[in-house]
Amino acid sequence: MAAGPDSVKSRVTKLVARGLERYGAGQLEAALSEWEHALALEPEHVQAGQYVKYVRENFSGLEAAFKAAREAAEAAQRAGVPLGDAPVRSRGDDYAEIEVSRAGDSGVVGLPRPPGVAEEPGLDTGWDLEQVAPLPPPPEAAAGHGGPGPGPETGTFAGPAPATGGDLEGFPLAELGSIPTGARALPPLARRTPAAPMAAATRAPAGAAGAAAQQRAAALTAQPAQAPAPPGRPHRFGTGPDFADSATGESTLYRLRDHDLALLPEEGSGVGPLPGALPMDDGPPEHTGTGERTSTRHFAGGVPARYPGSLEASERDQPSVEIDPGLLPGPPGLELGALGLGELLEVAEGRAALPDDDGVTGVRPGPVAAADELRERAQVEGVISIARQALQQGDTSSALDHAEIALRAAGDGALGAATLQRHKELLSAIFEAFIGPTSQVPAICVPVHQLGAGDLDHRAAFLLSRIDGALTIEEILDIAGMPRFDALRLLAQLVRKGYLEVR
Amino acid sequence: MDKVIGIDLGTTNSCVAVVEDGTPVVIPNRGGYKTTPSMVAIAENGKRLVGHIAKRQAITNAENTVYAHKRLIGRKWSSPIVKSASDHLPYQIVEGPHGDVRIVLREQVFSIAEISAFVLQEMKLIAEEYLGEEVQKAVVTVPAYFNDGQRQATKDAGRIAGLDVIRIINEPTAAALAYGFGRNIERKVAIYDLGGGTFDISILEIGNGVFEVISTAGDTFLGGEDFDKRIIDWLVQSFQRENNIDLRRDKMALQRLKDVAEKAKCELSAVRETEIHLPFIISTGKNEALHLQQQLAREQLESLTADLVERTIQICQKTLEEAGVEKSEIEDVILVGGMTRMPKVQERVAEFFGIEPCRGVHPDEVVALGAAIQGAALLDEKNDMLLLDVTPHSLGIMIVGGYFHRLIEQNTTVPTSKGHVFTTVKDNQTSVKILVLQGESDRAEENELLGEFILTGLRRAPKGEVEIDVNFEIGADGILSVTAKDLETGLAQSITVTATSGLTEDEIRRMVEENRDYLVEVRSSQEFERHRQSTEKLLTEIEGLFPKVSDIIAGSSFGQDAVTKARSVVERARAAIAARDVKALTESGEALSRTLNMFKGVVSKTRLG
Repeated sequence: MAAGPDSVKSRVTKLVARGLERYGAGQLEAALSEWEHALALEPEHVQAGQYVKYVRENFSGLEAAFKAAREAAEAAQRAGVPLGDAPVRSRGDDYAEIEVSRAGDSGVVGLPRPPGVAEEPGLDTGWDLEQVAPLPPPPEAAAGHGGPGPGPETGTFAGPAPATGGDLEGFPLAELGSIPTGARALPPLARRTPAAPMAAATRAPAGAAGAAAQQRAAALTAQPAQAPAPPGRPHRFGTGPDFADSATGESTLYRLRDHDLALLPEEGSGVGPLPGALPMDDGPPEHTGTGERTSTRHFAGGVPARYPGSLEASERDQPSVEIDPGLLPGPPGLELGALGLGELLEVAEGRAALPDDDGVTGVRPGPVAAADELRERAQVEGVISIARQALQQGDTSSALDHAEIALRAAGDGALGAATLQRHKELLSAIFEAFIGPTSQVPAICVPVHQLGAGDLDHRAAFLLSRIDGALTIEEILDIAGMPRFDALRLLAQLVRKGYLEVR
Repeated sequence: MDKVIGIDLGTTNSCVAVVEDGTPVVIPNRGGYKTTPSMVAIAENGKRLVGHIAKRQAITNAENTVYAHKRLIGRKWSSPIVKSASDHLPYQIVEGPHGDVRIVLREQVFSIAEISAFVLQEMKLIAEEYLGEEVQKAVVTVPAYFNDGQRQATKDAGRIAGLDVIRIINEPTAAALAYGFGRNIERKVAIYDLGGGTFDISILEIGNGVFEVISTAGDTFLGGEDFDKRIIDWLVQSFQRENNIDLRRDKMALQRLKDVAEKAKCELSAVRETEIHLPFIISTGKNEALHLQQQLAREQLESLTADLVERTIQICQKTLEEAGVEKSEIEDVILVGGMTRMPKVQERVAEFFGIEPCRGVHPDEVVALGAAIQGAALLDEKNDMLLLDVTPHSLGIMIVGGYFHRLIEQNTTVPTSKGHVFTTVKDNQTSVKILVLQGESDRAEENELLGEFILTGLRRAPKGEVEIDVNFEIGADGILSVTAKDLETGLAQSITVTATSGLTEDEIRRMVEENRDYLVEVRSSQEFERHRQSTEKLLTEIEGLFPKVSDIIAGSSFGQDAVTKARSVVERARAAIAARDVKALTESGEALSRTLNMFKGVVSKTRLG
């Protein structure tokens, strides 16, 4: 039966609504997929267009915010604290040297609402109170209760291990201090893992075809098993499904081809070929295990001219971020020259040899360790580059988030030291830009008793203790008792978490 | 009319006051506090920190934070007090070029007078901000036991700070003035001064407008900080018992402990119990930070510090005995110093002296108020509250046997001139050495040597036959001249003794200029920073829009021209930042704003179009 205009309209409305559902649940990829499906059917649909634009432009920040909300909810549930606002105690109830400077502010971090979202009755928009990030449970009454026992005093604090999942893992919105290398999974280079979005776009037709489609959908929605890292391997950057696990040869990315089938317009609908572009940054080319390459898709720049299919070499080799190879400390004997990211990663993964004009041929000794190291370096530099771009565009939140990702990925070892050496000025500028003019006076927004056990390390607490409502940010940096860079970073994190505001 | 401010330059805290419409008032600082810590630090970035901000990092930056420099001012490097202090001070002290004491902070060397000048300058700025006018004259207080060298050093400090110190008065005297003593009153009063770092007890005899310090004693290493330390030790020990972690090993933890201990101590003067809460005080290696939470009761604090209070009472007892004054002769007791707010201290003082201490004036403000009253009196010649300037210590020479012979008694009003005839002690003695001393001890060696000279050419004669007239004269400017004259021949020799702080006139002039330049630099640096931050913000926005705008308008010749001009505006702004040119930055700011508006307009028009 041919689909008439009314049924197309109705489908579009439902797709937009489902996209909002997905968005409210924090499934950004899935939400985008729904809206772009709607746009495929009705390219001039204003709402869908606005939603797609908004989410694409703010993807990193939104993802981080959803993750923080999820973690806070999980923490609250574990602690048995009911969700929702906790009452603010008066200042006289406890004598603490970290004091709230603004009474009545529970410091709740809300989730961003896309523009123009109207609350429709019966539609779960995801804005229920339960989903607002609750405050962490109050600290233990006496020191030393609960939690892990004391260990070496590193002066840094690594928060609790994040929940594993398909989304941007380990994003440090809720944590401060540095994370030792290898402590947690870190996100891939500007890559968004798809979670289980494609099932939403798949509608099972009736009958045997429907059963097959359902099986296919089930295969798509099932979380891919993650192969454990082989013993003896150094920490891998992004143990989520960001790139092929060379040990198993399996790709954990969803299969675009199947999804594309689901996106194909119905026959006779009169709708043209789908643009098919779903937002995804370039990442390393992946193998599906079938010998076929799938394409990666681009966030910016509109839709690719051709339908997703085989990846052309020229497209594969175009890096989405510029990496100055001179910045990468290559292992001894390895000259990187002017390699693009794609080429760099191919060399790192042993899938290509170095160009002859670099004077080095073949793979150097210890390819596995060197490959991982190269990959990590490349990814850190890439994220720094994104942070720089965000700063230039005035998006200080995104710049800060990416700066933190890069710093945590780089860790405390040689890579971390090299990263700091190269980018200290930029990173400091990002922190300062986020905090605002240092002539301003900061104020504490969260009552001390509402801080969770894992919310601060002693250095952040020391900074908070210096705030007295009179000292400016600059003066606090003068008396921080730590290097200016560290203090700036901690202050930026405190502002990001909503513990501090700057007036 | 010029105002004269009164400054209590304390060991731990300083206070400034002024008389307004006949009423002395204490001037609060920027943070609203009426006292300002007498602390100076140099931060890692080279910035000078004074007052509260220096105190907030005194532990984390201990090697470069100076406190209690009053214990060192005007003293010689060889002084036993300096030796004792250097053993436990966290900052480095070295010998100066004139045998004085210097302090090293981040490889810069400062005299003690300079450090005190930074504090005095801070008090000057506080007063100027309050009064809305420049302040040039001040009366500064010093402990009653300060000698001429220490007083001169304090005056030099004032000069370096840009202040004309028109009078130095004793702290107990200032306290008595604040309570209105001196107006046709004859009384013996005790001044019990327990401050942040020192304890002083003075017995004053007031009569005919003269405040005579009969006796003064104390402990330069006993004060409120010792009380804080007891609380810190108690907290640390308790935490260590529970968590097996010594918080003193972490500077940040120790800084917070110090701050909270002082706060708790002050709170317990008003309430019976207080909660001490230090969340996230220390991080362990296992992904957690520990908290410190304790209840401290007043009784507990009194128990922890009982011996400190008793020590002050013992010193009071000893002072009265040495002065030959009975407790019953003391008609009033004045409390000075913040620590005297502690109920237990007040209780013990009242118990010891048998009378209730004077109340009505805040003990940490009373000295500054008295100094302000004296300052106002100096401007008003008819004011009967004017104190006569007196010599703080006795002056004399060494005579045979190593004894000290007084020629001018302590508290003699100046100017004054006193002489005495001496004789030779050996047969055929042809020369005599005159050692000019200052102090109260009968033993010459226990007093301070101000100067010496030799009178030669005496007639050979049996001992006792040659008469030598030694005359001491102190002018209105405080300069002492000592003359020895052979009465028979008329031959004379003399010296002029001026108190020295260890700094030469050239050094003081250099320090005055440097300090002035520093202030100018700080102000211009603050202004530059303000402009720089706003300019950077504009630049970031403009540079972010450049690619888009270039794409949109660079196609036309007008557009190309606009883009070129915009680039040159950006370059000029960057050059102004690099050159730290505030004027150029201000001009660039306006150009940048116009450029940004233009860019935004272009971009928004394209969207709508």
